[in-house]
Amino acid sequence: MRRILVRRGLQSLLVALGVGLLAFLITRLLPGDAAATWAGPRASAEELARVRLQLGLDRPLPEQAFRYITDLVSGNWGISIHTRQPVLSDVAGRFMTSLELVTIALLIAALIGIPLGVLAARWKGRPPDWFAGLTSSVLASVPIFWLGLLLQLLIATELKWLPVAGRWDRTLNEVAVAATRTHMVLVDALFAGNGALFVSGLSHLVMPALVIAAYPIGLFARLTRAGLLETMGEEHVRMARATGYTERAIIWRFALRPSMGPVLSALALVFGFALGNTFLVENLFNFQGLGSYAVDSIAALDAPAIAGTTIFVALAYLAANLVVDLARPVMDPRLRDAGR
Amino acid sequence: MNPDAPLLSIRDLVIEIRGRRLVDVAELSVDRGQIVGLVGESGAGKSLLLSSILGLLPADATVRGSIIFDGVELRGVSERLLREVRGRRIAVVLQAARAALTPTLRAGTWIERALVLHRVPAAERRSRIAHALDAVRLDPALLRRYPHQLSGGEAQRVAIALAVALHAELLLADEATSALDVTVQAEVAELFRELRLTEGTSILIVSHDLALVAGLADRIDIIADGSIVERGGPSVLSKPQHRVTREMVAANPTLERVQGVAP
Amino acid sequence: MAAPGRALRYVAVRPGLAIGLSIVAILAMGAILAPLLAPFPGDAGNDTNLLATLQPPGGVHPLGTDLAGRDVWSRILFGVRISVGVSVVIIVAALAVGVPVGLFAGAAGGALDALLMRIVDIFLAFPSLLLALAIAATLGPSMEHAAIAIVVSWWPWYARLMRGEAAAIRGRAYVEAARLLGIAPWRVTLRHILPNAIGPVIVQSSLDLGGVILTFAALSFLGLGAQDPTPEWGLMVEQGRTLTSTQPWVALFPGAAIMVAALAFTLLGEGLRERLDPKGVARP
Repeated sequence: MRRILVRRGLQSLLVALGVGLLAFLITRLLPGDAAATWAGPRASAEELARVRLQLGLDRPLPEQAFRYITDLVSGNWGISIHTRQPVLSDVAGRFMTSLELVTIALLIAALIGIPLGVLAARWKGRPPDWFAGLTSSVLASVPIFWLGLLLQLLIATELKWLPVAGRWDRTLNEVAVAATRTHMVLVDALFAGNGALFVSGLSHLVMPALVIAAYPIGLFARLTRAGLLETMGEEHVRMARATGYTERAIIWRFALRPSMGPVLSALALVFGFALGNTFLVENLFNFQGLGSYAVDSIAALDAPAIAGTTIFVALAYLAANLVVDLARPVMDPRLRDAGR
Repeated sequence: MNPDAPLLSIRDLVIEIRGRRLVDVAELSVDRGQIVGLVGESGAGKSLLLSSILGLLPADATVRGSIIFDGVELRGVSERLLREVRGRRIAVVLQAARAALTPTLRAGTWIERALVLHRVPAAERRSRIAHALDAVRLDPALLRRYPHQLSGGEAQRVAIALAVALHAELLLADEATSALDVTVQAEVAELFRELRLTEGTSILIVSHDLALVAGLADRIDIIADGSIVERGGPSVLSKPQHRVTREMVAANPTLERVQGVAP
Repeated sequence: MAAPGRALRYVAVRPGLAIGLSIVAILAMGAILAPLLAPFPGDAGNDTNLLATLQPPGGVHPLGTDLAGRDVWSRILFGVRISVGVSVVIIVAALAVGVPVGLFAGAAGGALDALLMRIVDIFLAFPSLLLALAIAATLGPSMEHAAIAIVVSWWPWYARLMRGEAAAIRGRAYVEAARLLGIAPWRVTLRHILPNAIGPVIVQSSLDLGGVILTFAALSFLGLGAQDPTPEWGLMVEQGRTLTSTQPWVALFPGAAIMVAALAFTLLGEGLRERLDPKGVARP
């Protein structure tokens, strides 16, 4: 196990390095003069020259790349042009906000998708199965931005069940800002012991989380169904039946866990999907997460910020993959002893 | 409840799947403390017969006839009642020993859960398991393992231990030794003999292995094409009457060794 | 002779596949016959009608008009060519890049394989949508750039998939035999490995078509893809975005079109997958 960990770790490191280089390339390829963007439109020629020196833009490209990577590793991710804040702290904070949203979304997806898959497997070939299958396909085909608009229109504007946008009620603004520590409204509310903020934060998270959860629900349902059907045909299920368990107990207590392998593997993929799609959702629901930061950075041609965001997301995705790979043996004991 | 009456009595059992008649057994019974061997080639209907006893046939199968266990008719009875019988009074041991245990549960947990299912009080569970492990000669440390960490023989013993712990009166062994190494096969067969003595367990063992059954069973029923074609003590193998029996005996060179021992 | 009958029966028992095929057929007709079917074909181009802006659905404009008075229905019809057409091109391009890379890596093995796959891993380290976004932003907003961006973010999947298949086939006996017989390696690769490895990749790509349609629409929604007056569905949703509470038709109908198209190809892909490769899954 340990050897696999080390090898994966090294691989990931290599990939992370490649990601860093790729991000560096992107920053250099962005249209516009980085120095001019930084210095502003009214900078004099002297200022431009000074800025150019400061940013190291006069050095040869490989040297810039090397400096870039070493800076990254030492924690210096540059200063964002449009916020004038250190990129790393910007990105980390915004990431937490997006992470909160993604986590809730994945939780919802699992809580709805897996039982849906169980339903489909239980009633294979009958109406519940058709329904689950069609739902999965539809959910996989819905444009996220359109679904968001639709939900906003129906649930917020028409039915007024949930707030349209934002992360918390406007009246709680001061409280929320004061409580900000982790940039996750639910966690911060708990730390501050503020129930109203917690509830408000939660109600503002529901719709965007649902929008992101749409595709994963379908995916989880489909994978659960497939895995469960396969497991139900195995000998140990036959044995469980002969031991006297009810069909229901067999499905939930004996067959489900061995079937979860594909779902767990898909979790990393879905995490990446969710992270990549948060910016569409943040756009619509006015969330100050990593996605909106990325969009703003792109609009401002803020190279350091764009690069920083890209790298961070890639690292998060890599981490997620690693975590999932480590979790699989925990879920399925058969994977624990390599090569037995 | 007549103690001399057979523990299991099957009469006029007919099993059909999609119009094809796969089992047609006029009579088959197992007495208390008896070991009966049901021998036949693949596809003869042996496993189907076993499955029907506990009502575990595929959905598209039709069953007719009577299956009386301890004086109670099992066929046609509700699922709920069948679940009381399954495991608790009639236990099953399958061919794929390791695959029969839930892969994500430790062996001990698997046994424990079944005891909980059949409402064995917590205080009793431990002693029952200890006794069962003793009876099957299984090291208690092995209970902490997962099925894939057990050998075929060990896994088989776990399943048998469960039957003992639940005080099952009848054990249905569906090719229980076929996937095991030869020496392990002998051990399991020995175990069956012991269980009959110490626990009074009746055993209906289904197999295609003549030699094994010859050395183990009190009575051997030969099944072919869904029907019992011949029946008798182990001597039925040394003096086969039916064509099918003769063919099977002829194809089995190891039998000669065993026949010398059989009465 | 029996094949068409069997194919028909295969489709008949799978309503999902049947629905998918029907919609795809309708889309194809829409794409081809758009100039004839659209009541206001010019609206899909440069025409505007400032006297009829934001008309609700009904009458001469079955789905209403947008901010510039253009007929939504006509624009949706013409949008089929763009959304579906571009998506197909993107997938083909991604295959054209990914398959050779994967084939090469899988067939060659060793250091070359490792190197190529590390490069692929770097691309795969990004959620594809984010990568496409970054590249599209770098290149500048236009339909072509968005398409390129998606191709760049999508091909690694095919490379990896192809590589896996190729590597597995390379280990098979008949490939060994071919090599021992002295057949040139490139020929072994092309004649023996490629045809057998490419199956799952093709199936996966059919499943991906729906995803690409969605991705392309998403990029246009963000302003990085098609530009006005192109009647691209994602762009149309964006244009109607601020109007959803008062004039919902402007954004809702194009969005529905996106969903229907994506659904059609997803259902189609799933139907094919069931037949050809049960382990594929539609990717986001």
